Amino acid sequence: MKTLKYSIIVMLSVIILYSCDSSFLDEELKSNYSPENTLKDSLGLEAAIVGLQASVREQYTLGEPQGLLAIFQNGTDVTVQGNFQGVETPFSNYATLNAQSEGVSFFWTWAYKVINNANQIIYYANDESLPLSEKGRNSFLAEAKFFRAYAYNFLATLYGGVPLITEPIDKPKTDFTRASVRDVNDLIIDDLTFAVANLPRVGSVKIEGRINKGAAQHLLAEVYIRDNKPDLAEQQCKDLIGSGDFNLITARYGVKKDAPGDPFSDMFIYGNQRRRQGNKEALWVIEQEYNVPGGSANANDQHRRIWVAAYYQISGMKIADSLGGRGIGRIRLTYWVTNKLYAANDMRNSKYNIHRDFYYNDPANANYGKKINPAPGDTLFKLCPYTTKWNHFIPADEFGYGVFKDHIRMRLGETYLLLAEAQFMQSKFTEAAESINVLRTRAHADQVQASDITLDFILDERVRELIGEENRRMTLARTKTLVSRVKALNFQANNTIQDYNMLLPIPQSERNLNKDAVLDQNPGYQ
Amino acid sequence: MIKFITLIRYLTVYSLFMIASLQVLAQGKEVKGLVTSSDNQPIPGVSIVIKGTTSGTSTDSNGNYTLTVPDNEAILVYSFIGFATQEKRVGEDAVLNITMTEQLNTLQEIVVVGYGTQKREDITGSVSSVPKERLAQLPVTNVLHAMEGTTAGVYITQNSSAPGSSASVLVRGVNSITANTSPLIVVDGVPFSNMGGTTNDINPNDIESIEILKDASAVAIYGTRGSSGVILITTKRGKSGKPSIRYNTYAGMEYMHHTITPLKGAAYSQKYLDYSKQRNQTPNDPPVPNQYEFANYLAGKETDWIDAVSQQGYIQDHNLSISGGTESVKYFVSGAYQKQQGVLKGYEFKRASFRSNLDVNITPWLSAGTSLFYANNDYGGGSVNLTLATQMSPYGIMYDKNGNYEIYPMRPELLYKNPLLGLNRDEVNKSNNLNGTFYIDIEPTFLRGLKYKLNTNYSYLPTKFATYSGLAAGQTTGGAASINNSETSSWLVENILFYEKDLGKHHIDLTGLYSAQETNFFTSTINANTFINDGLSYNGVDAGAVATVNNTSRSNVRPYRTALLSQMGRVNYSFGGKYLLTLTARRDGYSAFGSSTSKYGFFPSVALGWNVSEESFLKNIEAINNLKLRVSYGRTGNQAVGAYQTITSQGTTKYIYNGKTYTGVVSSSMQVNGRLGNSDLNWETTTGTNVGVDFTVLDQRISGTVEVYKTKTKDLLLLRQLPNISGYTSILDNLGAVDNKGIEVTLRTVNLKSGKFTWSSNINYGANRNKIVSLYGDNKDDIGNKWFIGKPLRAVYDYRLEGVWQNGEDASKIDPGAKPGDLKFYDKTGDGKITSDDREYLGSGLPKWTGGIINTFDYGNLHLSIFIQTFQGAVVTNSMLNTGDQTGRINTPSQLGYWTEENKSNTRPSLAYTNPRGYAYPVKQDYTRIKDITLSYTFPQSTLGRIGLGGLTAYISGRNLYTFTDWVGWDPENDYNSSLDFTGNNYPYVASYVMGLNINLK
Repeated sequence: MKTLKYSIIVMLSVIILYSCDSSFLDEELKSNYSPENTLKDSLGLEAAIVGLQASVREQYTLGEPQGLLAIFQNGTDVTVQGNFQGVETPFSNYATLNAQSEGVSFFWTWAYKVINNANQIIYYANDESLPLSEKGRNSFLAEAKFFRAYAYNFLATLYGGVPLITEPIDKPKTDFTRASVRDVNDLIIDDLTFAVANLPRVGSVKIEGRINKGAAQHLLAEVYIRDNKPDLAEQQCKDLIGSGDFNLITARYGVKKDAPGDPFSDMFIYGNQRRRQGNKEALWVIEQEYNVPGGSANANDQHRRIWVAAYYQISGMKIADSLGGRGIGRIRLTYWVTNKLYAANDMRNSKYNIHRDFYYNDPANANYGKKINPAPGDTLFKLCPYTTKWNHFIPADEFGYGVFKDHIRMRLGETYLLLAEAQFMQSKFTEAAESINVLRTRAHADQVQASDITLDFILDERVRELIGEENRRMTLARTKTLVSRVKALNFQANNTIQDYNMLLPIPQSERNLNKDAVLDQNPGYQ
Repeated sequence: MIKFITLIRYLTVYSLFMIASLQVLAQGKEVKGLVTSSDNQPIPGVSIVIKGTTSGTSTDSNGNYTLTVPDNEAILVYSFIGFATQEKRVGEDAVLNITMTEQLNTLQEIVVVGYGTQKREDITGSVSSVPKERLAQLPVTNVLHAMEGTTAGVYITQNSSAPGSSASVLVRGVNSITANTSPLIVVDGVPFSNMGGTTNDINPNDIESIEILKDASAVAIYGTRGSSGVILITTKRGKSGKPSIRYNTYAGMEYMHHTITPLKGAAYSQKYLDYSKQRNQTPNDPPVPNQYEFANYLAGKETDWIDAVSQQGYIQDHNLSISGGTESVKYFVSGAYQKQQGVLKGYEFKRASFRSNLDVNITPWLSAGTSLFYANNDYGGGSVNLTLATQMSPYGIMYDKNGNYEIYPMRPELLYKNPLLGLNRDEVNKSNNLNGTFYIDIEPTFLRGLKYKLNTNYSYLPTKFATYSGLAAGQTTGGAASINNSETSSWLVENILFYEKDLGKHHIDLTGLYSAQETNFFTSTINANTFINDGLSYNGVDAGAVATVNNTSRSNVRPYRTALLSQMGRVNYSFGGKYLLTLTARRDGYSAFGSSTSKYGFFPSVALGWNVSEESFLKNIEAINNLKLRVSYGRTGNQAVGAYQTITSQGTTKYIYNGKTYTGVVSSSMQVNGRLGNSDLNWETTTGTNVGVDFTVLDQRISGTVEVYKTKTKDLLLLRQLPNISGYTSILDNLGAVDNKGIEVTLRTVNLKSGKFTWSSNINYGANRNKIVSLYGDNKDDIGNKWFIGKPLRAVYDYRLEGVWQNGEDASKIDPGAKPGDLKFYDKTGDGKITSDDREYLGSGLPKWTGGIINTFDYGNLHLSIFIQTFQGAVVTNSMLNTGDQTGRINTPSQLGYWTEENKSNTRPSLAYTNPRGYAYPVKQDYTRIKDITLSYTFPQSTLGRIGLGGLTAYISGRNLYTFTDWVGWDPENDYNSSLDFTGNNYPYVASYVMGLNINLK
């Protein structure tokens, strides 16, 4: 009997002891990386830079809501709503723009996610115990600071002073307050000054596609202009142009150099956009590629769908490579852009760069080959002129929900425009005219004189050069010209825009969630 | 080794002793007899015990028994679940035939309570048993569907009728916001849902009983997994006697229950014209949006796409079981096959399952057994898309000139593909559950009343999913394949000690538990695309030009390990069967709790019961057969933290440099989110009180239970939204508190009894009030998350719809930018402007009350049961009403309607409305449903004898027969998150009609 009792006790004890192993309840993270176990050497930091750039790419490449990209063009001087989706409507009808408008919070969120990723890298790279050389440490810091400055510049330009976060958040925080624009600008300038000093020149980056000194100089110049330091901006532009690392594209090149076209249009052809592909003008290219892992954020980049017209909705028209694939014309160029802006001889207005005329292309159609005479209403989004910069056609993907072109985020052409702006601000009108004439020479357009130079002229020239590329809302907000130019040039938004619309509202959801402090709303928004 | 030899020696000695005692017994007298029910059916498995001893036997499959008794004074006790226990003195007779009477009074019923069983009359907590008739003769593939609406305080929602879909369950409201609120499902003592099993793995025919533990006293023994209630499922086991072979089968048809009808030709064309006008666009001529529609429009040829994707649904079920045994070995073995073909083409569900439950009495002090089962669920292959079918133009082109499905029926519209393309998608979707439980019971003879049980379980659940879409399935880009495999393996070891002791009128019952459990999950996914041709389907995934691999399951779960270590103790004490006391305590340690915590939670409870009717002052009152009061108080938890959620982590992402792929880590991005960890994260704690009355009155004509309860859950695991300024959008945190209080009534009545006719009812009613008590401790609402202090969870917070702006009305002041045809909202703040502050609380998605009534009519062997279920007081958003910006491009349900200048609708907006304020269209979800009607006939024994059967019941049953509701859309119960959007898919609610047979071989 005793033995049985004993056996039971032994049996119980064995099971209990087995279960009582002290590590039984310990948890070891095995299915994800964490900052602590990853950002501890150069391999981890390299991976974090890749992740950071992937998060930066998401700015303009995600698909939902589909009309999002249009908010930076509609309600400015360059485009109006075409076949709209809805999310962009408040930005054309400013009476409906409010702190709940989805576009307002989407990009705000994007920017702070990038900032957090950059802060993680800066925080860990600054850890002296990490096995990094001084140069290696500074190169990680410089890259992270560049992108942090890029995101803060986006916020400061569109929203004004915003909460300033410089270290990764490690616990919930709900008492953010807005910093002054001054403080935000100081951080951006600090970051970019460090980046300019420590980033490699474009020829010596670790891998082509990593950020380089030229991009930092270009961004710093833009920030200096916004911060009313035109002399410093001019210096950055001149250093960059003078470095000889980049040059304007003035001759045909690339995959379609023998097809009809011009040097300007060559830059925007899939396969031509990167430096290695011959584009020596590009300072910073955000890469995308069809059907390559990592080739896009989520394969949903909406650029073609917003910019390219829905010509195939006309009977007798089919989707064509030469017409840029399947757009849906969510936005269309304003009358000012299509009819007033360009001189006829301007290369940037060539049929390779602005598509204007349509010809029936369905062989089954009786009018095949004939030019279409648009019916009233057809030019709203089906047969409206459009920039060809987002033309893209992949035969396997006719529907083409997403576009896979690279984004030339910065190029030397714009550097000349920033230079001109900085010179104009210092009343160096002759120099400003010279800077602009560099671009006009390339475009075979008429030269301008010092007397032609005004802020509006520079802003016009930016459209000629950068339509489809620049975030027009940022440019007009930066130069405080949004309201005046919309009133003059945008028939759709001119009646509803008011002075306070120069800045976007602070997202209401953020204000609600930030329960322990007040995030002041920008004046005019409720 | 020495111990083993000692054991053998002991066994030998013990066996000799046993033989000796049998010889003593053998000197008595042999009695035999037949035990039958009141309708003369023999009852197998009736337990017959000589009173005051443990010796006895049970009836064989024909209801016969033989037993040797010491003398004529012996009293035999006959007992069987569902029948009144009888005692009979042996007397002079050698044949004792007994007729058992069915018992409405369920007090003697043995109820499974978790780590043991109890008599109903001894229960102090809130334990509901699912009515037995709900477990048979119903055409359901999932046992939860059978339970829907039958038990007070248990809300079961069948989210989809698609073959193989499960249901969601809430017990007594929602006591968590972000954590899982499904009850823990325990099958034969094994925490099944906790180990990866789904209710689809359980063959409903194998189930003997289902109990639902609801109050803190009943669930506290499940510690950190108890707070959402516990469902205990017990499968059938063998009884001694001749083998009993049963074959149960049914087959029948399924139909769409509640359908919507897309606009027909003329109305569709008119909608396009109206859309063009309202959006200031020039319409095409002919007036249809797309070129491909022109020809059919001009020819007047229309397609009914709903008809094209539909088919006759059917369901069939076969179930064979063999059970029986001897005194020492009892077995229950079953095999089942079920097949359901959906009402939409391609939808299918098949389940094959086997079960073997074995109990072996090795020696008088040692018994052991197993519960083994295997289930294979096959969720079918490629299927049609009903959402697309409702969106297709009636003039769209179904077939191309080669007779294949036209990929884009409304070309040049390329967003909406042919709804039938999915039929050409190769797909396999299977899950398996291989599950084995082994137990040993040791009841040492030196200490009567002591029992030790070792319960062990291992489960292995592999799943396989593979899909391939080629050109025929609409994949124009060269084929796309996706394969996902996963496996979940778990083990469980439980050591349970029981001790039972009677001391005079005192009865004491002790239970102690020490257990450990571990679950490991692994998964991998391969996606590949761009194949040479479609010949290899998913079997040639390595031929894809582009392949990506990840470790994420189809529901986005990454590999993990969790472990649980627990101790539990329980004391049941009763005095004279009148006063009852239950004390329990459980301590649970769970691996996923934050590293800064102890990882252990402690959950005590106390419950008291008073069988008032046993008191002398009530004993003589004829009208009251039974009256019992119960009260309980206790604490339970919700562990619900997933593995690794307390640790700050990063996601991985990919980027290209010069076209070459690099992998990166990212803490926060719009696409891939890392997590902000919280090392203080702990369980949620629910403290609750339950007061109940059980009664049986009027000569057992009416019995029932009324319970009221109040629970408070604090330290809620909230996925708390953070300002995005943080870089993170949310963090899991222990915050806030919610209250639930409610009342539950269950009534069983015999309404009419006259001769062979009986009409009885089973009524249940449950009302629950849920409210948020606190959130962040600052008494502020969280508008961003729609959490409002003092209001229920699942709040609908939106504008109050006043109507639609009409021509001539001036919106410019109150809602600048609004055009005629836009929705008009109520200016709640009265400041003359519509702003976000005008939104208000409009209701909650939680029902105010639910109920069900089962009416049963018996006439002789004829049995009719009618079950009506109701769901009242919930407000939810109806995404069917929110057509977004797509109304001009697709067909819409004719039930929707839209504003025009002429019809001046005051409920629906114009087709140009873009919903700039994100109005979500809240509506009432109320419905009342005739859930099922079953008519069955049990053939009399006299007939059956001639055809050589032991028993035969035939029935017809209809399910989801009619629904009373104001809901617009497929069905109020189905939870369609997808709007009229190309990404979602719908499945209609289904009505079924079946015929079935339950055959018992002799």
